[in-house]
Amino acid sequence: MIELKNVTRRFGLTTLAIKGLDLTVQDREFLVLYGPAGAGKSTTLKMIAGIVRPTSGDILRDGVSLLGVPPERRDMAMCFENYALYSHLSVFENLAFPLRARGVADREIQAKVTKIAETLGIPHLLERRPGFLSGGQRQRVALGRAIIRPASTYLLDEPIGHLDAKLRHRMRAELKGMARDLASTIVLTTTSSREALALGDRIAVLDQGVLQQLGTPEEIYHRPVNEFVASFVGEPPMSFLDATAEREGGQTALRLRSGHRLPVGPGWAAPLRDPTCRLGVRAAELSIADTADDRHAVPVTVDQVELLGHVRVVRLSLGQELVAVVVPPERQLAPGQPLWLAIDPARLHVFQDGRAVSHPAMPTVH
Amino acid sequence: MASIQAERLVKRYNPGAPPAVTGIDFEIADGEFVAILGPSGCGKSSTMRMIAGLETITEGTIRFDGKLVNEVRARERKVAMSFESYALYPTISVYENIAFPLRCRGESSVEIDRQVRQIAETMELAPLLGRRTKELSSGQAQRVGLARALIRRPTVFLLDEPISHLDTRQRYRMRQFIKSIHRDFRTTMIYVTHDQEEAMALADRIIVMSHGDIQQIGTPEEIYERPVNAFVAGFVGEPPINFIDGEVLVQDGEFHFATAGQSFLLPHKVQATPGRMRLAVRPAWLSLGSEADHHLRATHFVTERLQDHNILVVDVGRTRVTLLTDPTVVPQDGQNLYLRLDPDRILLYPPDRSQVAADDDDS
Amino acid sequence: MLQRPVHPAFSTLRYALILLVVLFAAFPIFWMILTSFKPPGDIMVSPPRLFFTPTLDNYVHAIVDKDFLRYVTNTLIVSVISTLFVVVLGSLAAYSFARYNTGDGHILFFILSTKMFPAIAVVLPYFLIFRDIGRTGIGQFLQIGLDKPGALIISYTMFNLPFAIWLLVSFFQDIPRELEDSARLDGLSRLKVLRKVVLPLAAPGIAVTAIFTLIFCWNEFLFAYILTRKTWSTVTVGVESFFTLQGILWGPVAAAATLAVLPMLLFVLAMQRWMVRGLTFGAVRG
Repeated sequence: MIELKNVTRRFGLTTLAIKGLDLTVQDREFLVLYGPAGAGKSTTLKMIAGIVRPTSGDILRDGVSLLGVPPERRDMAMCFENYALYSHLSVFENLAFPLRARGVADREIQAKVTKIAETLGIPHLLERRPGFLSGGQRQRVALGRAIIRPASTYLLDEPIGHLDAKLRHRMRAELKGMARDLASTIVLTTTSSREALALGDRIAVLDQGVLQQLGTPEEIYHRPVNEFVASFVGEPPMSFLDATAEREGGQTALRLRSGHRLPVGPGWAAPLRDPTCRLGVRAAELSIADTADDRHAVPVTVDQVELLGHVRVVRLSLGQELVAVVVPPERQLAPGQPLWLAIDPARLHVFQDGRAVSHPAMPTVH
Repeated sequence: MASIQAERLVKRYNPGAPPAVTGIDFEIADGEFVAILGPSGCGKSSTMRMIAGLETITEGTIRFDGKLVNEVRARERKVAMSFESYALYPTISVYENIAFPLRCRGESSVEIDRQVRQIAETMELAPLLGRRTKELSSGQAQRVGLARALIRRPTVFLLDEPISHLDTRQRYRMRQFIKSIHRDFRTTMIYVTHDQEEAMALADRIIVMSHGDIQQIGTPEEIYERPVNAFVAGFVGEPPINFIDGEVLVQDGEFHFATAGQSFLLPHKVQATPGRMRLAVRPAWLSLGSEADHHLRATHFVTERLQDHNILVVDVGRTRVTLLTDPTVVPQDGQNLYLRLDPDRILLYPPDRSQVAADDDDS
Repeated sequence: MLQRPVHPAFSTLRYALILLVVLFAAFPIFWMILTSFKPPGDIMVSPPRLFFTPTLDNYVHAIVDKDFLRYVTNTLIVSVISTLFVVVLGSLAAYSFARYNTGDGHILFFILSTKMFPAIAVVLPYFLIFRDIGRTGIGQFLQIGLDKPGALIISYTMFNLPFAIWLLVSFFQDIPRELEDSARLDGLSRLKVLRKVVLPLAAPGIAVTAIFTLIFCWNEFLFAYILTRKTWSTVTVGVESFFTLQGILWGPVAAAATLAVLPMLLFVLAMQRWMVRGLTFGAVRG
């Protein structure tokens, strides 16, 4: 178990990369550090590795401080975002480097390098120098070098972020399978929502050096603590609508900025401090119809349509605001087309001052 | 505004070397949004640079509105280009960056101010005008780059991978933004990218290129549903399409597909010829069936739970296959699964001879 | 880039210009070598003679009578040892500046600022210092003193270090930090990281620095002239000794000069590939 306790890291006098971070990495868990560029993901990883020292705070492993332990004695392996390949060595020697550093026998090195090159689809590149590889190939070598030797913890800094879609997908599944077989702790950083959800046992969402939320993919997706997490997790990103709660004869209704009134059932009990709030709604929770009916009561027009293969993402304009909906790819829609939107009050996330005040019920998983 | 016609377009950099573009034909209508999609080295950038006039045309012709432009210089073509690296001037403000093309043309400062403020308003850059470009986030820098390109009111707007390396939310925002630019300015737009998702999401039509040649031209729907060859099928779609190598056999006058020690009956509408074939099926076109009713047996490898849907990664023999399911489906590791194919959506291609597929990656 | 076919007239003109520059640069060397083979009567005649009966007399005079090869040996010893000192000390210092930003740039600036002194300003103090050290026991033991190799080696090291450090800092800065971090995580100690990762990567840069230093030491005149008399004089001083009160012995001067230039010429030709690689260092990265 690795614990970061109130860790802060400054660069220079003005840049605060990490602010008071408390984070626990459980043994043998796959933890994903997820956030936009500049969130402090790499810095966190490097502090765990021992390459960057925290300005204040402590990092413990099994209750013992790691701060005095140099990186070479932490038994951790790391994959760097900029690959950090040795340009004077062949791909084979790059992969063999961590093994040679530990005095592993030549025969074993040969076997291990061959096997890992096979898994990563680079056996034909072993004799080349890194300078003659494409970005995606370099990234695979970097990943291979990190996972070739046994380590207590693997730290992977955007290990598949620069691969093309096809390879990224394959490597993601390989990584997940490998994580299961390795039975080691893995900490991975990413800027992709899909990658975070697909890989993590738990996800730590970071923004501007501050931990926003730490939880399982289900918790992060269905119970985001604030608007940032809500908008940053899931694809397409959650849409937000400004609303005001109105009470009329014991009935509560939400008035949208477009003027539309959304009556909410008696079960709806978001603890609002004041009537204004923001409603968050996932694209998959909305439905559209060509004609108005009981459910489809909000008039909208199609703003933009994007085909993403198995789904079509439709942006609808609702007054001044935009709402994203996903529909099957068979559904043909044109910009400007009028439609009717169904918003189920039971499926709304409610936010006030950026923080979540109520969530829809969790879906049940069999 | 301009339409573009290219005929027998060839680009050769070295007399001895194979050409970067091998004699391609295409037409882009006035106001259309076309994506040129392909892996690095496929000739897409050379094609774009020839349209822009940054590269000489070795053979063939490019016409704007029917007028030959082969010999017209870049700055006279009224083509704007936005680069992946933004190419902003670091020492001057956002305002001056956007104003730069107008200053170069010697417009009056009153006119410059009017146009800069107008475009800044449309592109949500008004609060940033006083800033230095190094203080901008990458998303903002890209918007400034686009604004600078657009202020010249180009007849053709070329975009070179402007949204690679952005995070998920920024990519959606940027796409939304580029689409609204296209709607507001009605400029002919050509978007060069290796990212199939951007091409599919943005373009009216996609030109898929590989090895200097056009593989397919079509709407995103056509490219996705009816790819003409295995390259296009494999390059477009997320998660990527599944390829299953096997053999088409004839039994009792019917076609069967055999792979990994199992076989199933091919629907009648599938055009098949006996012999080795590659079956291609998109993850969304596969579903879970029962032991009594299935096409292929598989073992579960991993499940990626994306919350609104799951991606199941399974093994059919030695072939790794992915399929999309409801978020409620979570099989055990190593569990046997039964896959069903959508009979209307089975693609068959000739067998793969080269093993270059794994090398087509890009940075 | 727009590539246009070049008109043949232009290409002829271009080669003519190149030829002119080469002639201008190489002529003195050519003339020196030519003169070194001329009998005395053919040297100072006007118009100059291109065709004559070559003789080795000048070389015999320089090597046998004047013992010129000793100067070459002296120079070799002094330059090579100085270069070694410069490279070792310079690399360590430059690595520290590049990686740990030692002294926040102030020390680096101070070191570079010593380059601003004209050599003539420091040579007299050096003379006095080395004269006094040379009289002490330790000075004699370490061969530091007037007309001793130690004095020259120390002066050359001092004089070349600033430039070498400045050159090397940029080479070390070009090595991504993550390369070292990654090697440490793989289990190498700091010293081993330096040996196995940093040095191989910086090798082209270090080689370039060494080459420049060696060339400078070889061609240095002022320090050698002031700090040596006879025994430890270097080639430049050796050539100067042909300028006698009786007159200048042009033939032997040319022969000696040729002997002085030759080793460096061969060395640089052999190292050409390294120099180009070193100067375009950092092209392979990322």
